[in-house]
Formats: sequence, C-alpha cells, structure tokens
Amino acid sequence: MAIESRSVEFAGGSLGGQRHICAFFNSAEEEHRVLRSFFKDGFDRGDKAFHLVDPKRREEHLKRLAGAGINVQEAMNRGQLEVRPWQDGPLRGGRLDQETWMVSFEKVLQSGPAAGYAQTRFLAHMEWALEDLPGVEDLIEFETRVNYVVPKYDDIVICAYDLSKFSASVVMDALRTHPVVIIGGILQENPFFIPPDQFLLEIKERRPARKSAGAAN
Amino acid sequence: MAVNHSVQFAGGNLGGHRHICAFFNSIDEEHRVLRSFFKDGFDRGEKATHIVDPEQREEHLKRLAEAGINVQQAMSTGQLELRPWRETYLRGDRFDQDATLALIEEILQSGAAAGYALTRLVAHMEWALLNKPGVNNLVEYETRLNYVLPKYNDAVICTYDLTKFPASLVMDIMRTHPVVIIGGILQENPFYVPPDQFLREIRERQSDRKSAATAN
Repeated sequence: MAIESRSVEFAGGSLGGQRHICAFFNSAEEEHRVLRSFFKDGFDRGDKAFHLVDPKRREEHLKRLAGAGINVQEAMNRGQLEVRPWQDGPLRGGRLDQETWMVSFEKVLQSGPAAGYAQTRFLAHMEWALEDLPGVEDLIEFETRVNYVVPKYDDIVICAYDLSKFSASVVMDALRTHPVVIIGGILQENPFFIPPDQFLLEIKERRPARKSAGAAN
Repeated sequence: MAVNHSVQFAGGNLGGHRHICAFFNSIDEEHRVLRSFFKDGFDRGEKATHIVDPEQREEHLKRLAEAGINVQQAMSTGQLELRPWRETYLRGDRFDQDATLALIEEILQSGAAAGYALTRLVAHMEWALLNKPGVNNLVEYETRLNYVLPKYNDAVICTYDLTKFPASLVMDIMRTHPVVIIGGILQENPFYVPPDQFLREIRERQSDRKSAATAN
C-alpha cells in the first residue's frame, strides 16, 4: 500500500506535525485570499471540510468558496463540505460550555476519516467569543486545551481571528496558544507558543490577581 | 580591550538584531520583564535613555529605584536620561518621522561620544495614540528604523501597552521588529518583514484605499 503524503502547503509555508493554527486577518477578503489554496487543495485531495462560520457571513463565505473554484452545492450535498453557524458549535444552547464543545469538536475531527475522507480541514471564525453570552470569557482556556486534542489527529484546525474586532490583549493570548500562526498572510511555526500545561497555570495565576483587583475597587 | 556587547534578559539572548518590540499588559509586567535589562545596563556602566509617558515619569523612576538603581546619581552623571514625548517623538506638537529617525541616531551616537560602550534605549509608544498630526505614520517609521539600527550595537526597545493599542496595529508593529517580547519572553521574530518589503506593502495598502475611495 502506498503511503499517501499528508504534507500540506499553503500561505507560503509548509505544515509540519503541529496542526492547531491561528490565522489573523484584517478582512474577509484577506482571509479568502490567504486560505484559498488551503480550501481548494483540500477539496481536490478529497479531504472533508468543516467550516464554523459567523451566521451573518455564511452566504458570503459560500460565495467566496465558489469563487475559489469549488463546486459548493455538490460538495455540500455529498457531505464533503459542512458549513455550520456558531449555534451548532461553540454557542450551542446560547452559551459556551467548553467541556461540551470540546467533545463535539473532537467528534468533528473524527467525522472526516469516519466517513472515508483522508482527513478533516477544520476552519472556525472565532468572533463568537465577542458575543454577549455566558462562558465566552473561557475562549483562551479553551484554545490552550485544544492543544491536548489536536495532536491526536492528522486533521488541520485553523482558528481565524478578525484583527479589527478583537482586543490586542486577547489576540496576544491567542497567539501564545497556537503552535502555528498565520500573520501577514504567511504561515510560520510560532516561537511564542506556550504548551497547555504551562498556559493553564498562567491562567490560574492571573485569576487571583483579577479577583483581588476587583475586591479593591 | 574587548568590549562585551552581549545582552541577556527576558529569558533570551539578544543577537545581532537589536530593534525589539515589547508587548505588555501593565506597567507591573513591563518592569518585571525589563528589570534585568535596566539593572544590568547600569551595572555595566552603559547609557540608558528612556522616553516615557509623561504621566508615568514618577512611577517609572520609582520602579527603577526599586530595581536597585541609584536613580538620582545616575541622572546627575548623565548615565540615565529621561526624555518626554514632546521633546522626542512629538516635537512641534506633531510626529515627523524623518526628524525622529535622525533624533534616534543622534541619541545613540551621543552615548558612544560620551564614552558609553552601549546605549539601552527604551521608548513608551503610546504617544502614537494621541490626536496629533503625523502619528498615523507610526508603522512606516518603525519599519524604516530597521535601516538605521543595524549600524549600531545599541539595544532599542519600543514598548506597547496591549490594553491601549488596537490589535491590527499591534500586528503591524510585530511585523516591523526583528525581535519581540511577548508573554515576558524575548524571541527572534519569524514574522518580521524587512523594511523594503514592508514599505512596498504600506504603499500597496495606500493605493488600495485610494481606489476604494474613488469607487465609492
């Protein structure tokens, strides 16, 4: 049996073993320009694509996939492409419950190979964390914990952050919780990545400081 | 006699690239992370020029003293020099990037001229958030500084308060510094874009904006 090459190249870089990627964009136009070959190559190679999108941007997202040469309707009909709103993912039940979503997220990764696809290419728009809903403040804790899950699989996970919407502090935490990053359209291994054990400790250390600051006010 | 130009701090070792940006969430974090950068410089008899937020001047001096630096003495000998924004980035109540590039070189040269082996320049960059003419040239200025600094051994740290700057600007700042401090750790920056290329990108953005404006 031939061993199929699972190397993945896009955004001017080559993906190694680490496959939890955060991508910073200034616009939907930039997102699709940079990820075009990630989307297109995945369909051409018969990978499953699971996209978790801002419901307000769903139609535009599909239009841009079609613009990249993907037969969107056909891919959706046969299940190769699944485009879901946040409510079917992290915001199920109108709140982020990170335990529940972590389990579902892992099932999404498994769903591609279970259905006979070589792997799943997972993309999530992360602006759900800016919605005024309970639990969304656990975004960064969730992101660091994803690093316990993704290495178990070959699947590729891209978390897309709109720089015009997130605060710089959150963006820096997002940077530090992803081993691979796309900045300025270029994919790079991330020297600022902090492994989850250590980052969870840091999050715990921050909490008492915030609590006592809150008490002081 | 060989002069020691090696610089270690923030869990890293500074190489040939010495234009550093440092991202902090608070003044506490800034002084915790840069403490040894400040202290080692004084102990080695190097020059320190700090361009600070005028509102943080007293706090800054207090924290230098807490780090074990004899602030009063260092200021009277000229080893420590504190300069406000209005005499540096915002002379004439505006930001002139050419004048500022010249000034930075002047600061570095004057340290060497006064016999210091190295100048450690630290600049608080929040002046760029004030409503003054020219401040929107911040990123262009930062990338052009990469033509200037490789001529010197001096270490230049631009500090950015993450609670004040917008994320898109912070990403541009990150891409214009070959060395970065994030989460208290100093690293060579793989996202660094050399100035020729970054200036082209800035020009492309400007023309995109113009054509978008014409289209509307």
